Amino acid sequence: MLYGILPEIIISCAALFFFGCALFDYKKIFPWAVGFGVAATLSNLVSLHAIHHPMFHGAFMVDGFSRFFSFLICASFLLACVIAGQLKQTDQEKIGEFFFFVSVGTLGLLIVTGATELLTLFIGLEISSYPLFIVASYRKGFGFQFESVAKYMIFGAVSMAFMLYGITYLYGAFGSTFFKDIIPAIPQHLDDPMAILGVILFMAGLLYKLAAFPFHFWAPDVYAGAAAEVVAFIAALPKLAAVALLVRLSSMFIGMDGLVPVLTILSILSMTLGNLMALAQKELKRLLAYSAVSHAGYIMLGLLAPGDGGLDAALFYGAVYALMTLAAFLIAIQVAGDEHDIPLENLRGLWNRSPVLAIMLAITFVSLAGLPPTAGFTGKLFLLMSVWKAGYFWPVMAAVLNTLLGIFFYLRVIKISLVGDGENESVPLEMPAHIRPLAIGLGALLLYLGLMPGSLLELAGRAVQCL
Amino acid sequence: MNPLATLNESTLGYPILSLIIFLPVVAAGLLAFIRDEEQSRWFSLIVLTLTFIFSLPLYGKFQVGLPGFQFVEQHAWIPKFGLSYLLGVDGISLPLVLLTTFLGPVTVLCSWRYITHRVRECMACLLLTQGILTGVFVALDMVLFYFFWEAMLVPMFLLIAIWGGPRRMYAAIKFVLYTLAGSIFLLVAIVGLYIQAGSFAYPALVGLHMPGNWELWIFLALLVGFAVKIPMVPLHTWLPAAHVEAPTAGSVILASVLLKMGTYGLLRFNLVLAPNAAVAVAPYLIVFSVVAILYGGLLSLAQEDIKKLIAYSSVSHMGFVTLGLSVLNLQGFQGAMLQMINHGLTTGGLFLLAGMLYERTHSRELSVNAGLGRLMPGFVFFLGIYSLSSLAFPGTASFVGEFLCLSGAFAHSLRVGAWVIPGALLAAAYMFRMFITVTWGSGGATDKARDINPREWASLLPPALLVILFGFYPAPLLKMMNPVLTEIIKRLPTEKTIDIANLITSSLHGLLN
Repeated sequence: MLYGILPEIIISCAALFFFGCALFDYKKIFPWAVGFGVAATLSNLVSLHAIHHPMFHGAFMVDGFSRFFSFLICASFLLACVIAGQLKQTDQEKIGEFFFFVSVGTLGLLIVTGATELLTLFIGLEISSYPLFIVASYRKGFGFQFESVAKYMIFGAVSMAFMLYGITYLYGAFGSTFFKDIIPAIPQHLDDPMAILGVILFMAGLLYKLAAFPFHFWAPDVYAGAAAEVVAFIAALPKLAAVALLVRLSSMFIGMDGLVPVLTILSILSMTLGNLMALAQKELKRLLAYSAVSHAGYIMLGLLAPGDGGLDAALFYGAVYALMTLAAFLIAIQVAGDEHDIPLENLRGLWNRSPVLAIMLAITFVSLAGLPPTAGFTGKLFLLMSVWKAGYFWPVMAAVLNTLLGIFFYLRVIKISLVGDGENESVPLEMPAHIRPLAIGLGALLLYLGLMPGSLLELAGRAVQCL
Repeated sequence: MNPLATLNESTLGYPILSLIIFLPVVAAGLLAFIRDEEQSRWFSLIVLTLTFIFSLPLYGKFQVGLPGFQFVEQHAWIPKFGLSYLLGVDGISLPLVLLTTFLGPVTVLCSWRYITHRVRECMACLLLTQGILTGVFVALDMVLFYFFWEAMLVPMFLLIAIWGGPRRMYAAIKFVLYTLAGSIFLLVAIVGLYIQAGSFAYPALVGLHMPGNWELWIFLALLVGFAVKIPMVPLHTWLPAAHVEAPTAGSVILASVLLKMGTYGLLRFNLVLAPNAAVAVAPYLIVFSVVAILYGGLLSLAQEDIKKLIAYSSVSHMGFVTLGLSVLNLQGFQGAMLQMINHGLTTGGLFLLAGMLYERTHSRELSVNAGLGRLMPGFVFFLGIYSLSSLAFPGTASFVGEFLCLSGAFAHSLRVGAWVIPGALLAAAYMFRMFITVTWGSGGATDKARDINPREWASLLPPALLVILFGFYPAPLLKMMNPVLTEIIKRLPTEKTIDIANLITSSLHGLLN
């Protein structure tokens, strides 16, 4: 029954292959990375049939839910590889290592989405974290990105430690590390301080992966310090796995009454803080980092309404968010210059330099702002509908006011891209041949999911039913 | 079944509403394949003329006397969340749909020479605007309505931001931010209605009973969304900026159709879905309307820029529309509806004229354009008609509308009527000031200007004919809308059931405790 974990196997093979490339200094890796990405993505279609198939003594589950996310993660891996392209901002000497570490990280994330046991989960998280710590330092021309790596790693290590600590408490309280033992037993442990403490500590690791308040401090510096190609991976893939985990364990968080206000407050703080900070940013990657913080808040809102379609909405929003992020980084990579940062001013006159990219940027940022007719709007609409239906009006209002706040800086980016700068406005933007069709495709997909969200929503709904 | 919510299938055998929405939208996509600028102009003109012709059966086959929706199209969209693709027209949306399709070719004609760069893109924007605006007026699913409502911003933003005047970016961003800020509340109201009714379909929301203060909050949230668009004082400051910077076609679309989205929403959603709240809030709306009429008129009187003058006169005229809607009687409603149509024709015409002046003298200042009328008799002919209509001269369309609004106001209370009368006088003052200066004034910058050419005649004449036609014979419009309006009036409660002052104090207490 190995075909159930075909994506994991393919990504592992990819990792080994890239390791070999690094050893033998083989440089023409890009087509291989795309090939492995395509294979991994397609293999999910095969394993989609292996519904509800526990493996490794029940520690890993191949079900519709984990396949939904492994599909998204593999597709994001593929997209991120294509977007990263020739790794303009990265040291060419390390191209083999780069793809090796990135695919190992992806493997870790795939393990996380399928894990149904706390230790497997933790190992998956560790496998996914360390390779990304390393690639965060790869940067051409600016030496070792110490600040970026240090913040990423120290915050990562601390939150992982919290999480491990939480896992020990959970084991102490429930006497098992298997979700199937823990989740049904939650009603009996509502007043158990050990269980509550365990869940809270456990959440730390998730919030770190999601870059949600109060574990978001790493995001702006890592985003700004690392090469744009690397950030495309860091920004999109781990978020998906974090959403998967949050939703899989949502009954653990929501089941405990005392945790609902905590979750609500954290999500509201996350979106408000992210948006407020983003207002002041002048650097594209930093802006996207704070935007990630605020989107983490929106996604967490969905957990409040498990019975009213909130989980479906969170899944939908997670998928759309990954897509929007990759689209945004596609642009960021293209407009990145030789300097360390990507100031928003780099976008000036984009409309004259590459209309396709400017239109795609407009669609992406309108989607990030949550306005129709894009996928970002539809996702937000579903979230707000279900959360309000579940009776939480004030979180909905907070999200709405935050949308208003977000509009200001997202539109500013679009505005800058539309205004000409006179000097190099007639200089067409040079970009690899495959970027243009990819940009058109991503923009069209964001519009399609905005107008016809039915199919993805259906998939998300089926995935949630597998829980 | 509530008469306002009945759905009558199309009797035509083809989806006419989808046709007039998507024909221009698809054509906008096809423009990508037309390289030549002249061809793209002709293509857009032909498409929009065809759209108008295709929309005529709506008038011909419309069954006057039915209060419900006709030509209904219904398809599942996202069944899981109760979204559907639901279109239909009734007596209050049909005139607006026809106004939109009627003005489509006009917008192309007035951009013919005015737009000199990126012609294809401009034509694509005009085509998109057409389709989306039609969508706003015929969408009966709240989310579909919201989609069209927001989608409208994109081509409009581009029209102002790319082909506008020197401060175009400022004006475009201001326009978008104002509208978005308002429409966020519109979204909250839509979701709130869904929470109450479990459906996004307008017919399912009619006659919905909402508990407690829900109705009032929904009303207010909807109101904020629509008030920005109308625009009601004090949310009007985006309008002069947008009008002054927008190219002629942009101004025409803004004034003629876009502003009506707000008042249409007020009538369609606020007054029908939240009648109890409407009765409670109406007195406050009357105050805001009177302020808009007088304040807009006074501002208009002080303007030197012709476009700004017309823009502020729009604020004043839209004040009449909101006044008619908030006096809550049949004359007022009829007046408001007629005023919407007339203001669309009249102000659209005035902006066309202002654009023609700008093409000749490259200035919109009154003093620069003074006395041009001596050189351009044809121009003065139309300026006369549209100015008279704008100040509601008897025999022009606006007279009927404004008269009905006024009689509605007097029927409501003498005091309101008395307050509004100076507004009508102000209109005469500012319009005559412009007309006299442009026609007979002295000290103009040029003594050479060619009179309007056949293309400009073609864009000015059809609205002018309608202005005069509706001035003498508004009956077809009134017959079309009366069944719906009487039905809406019938459903309004006769007594206030919500006391706002009390409510605000109690909710403040609730928040503090």
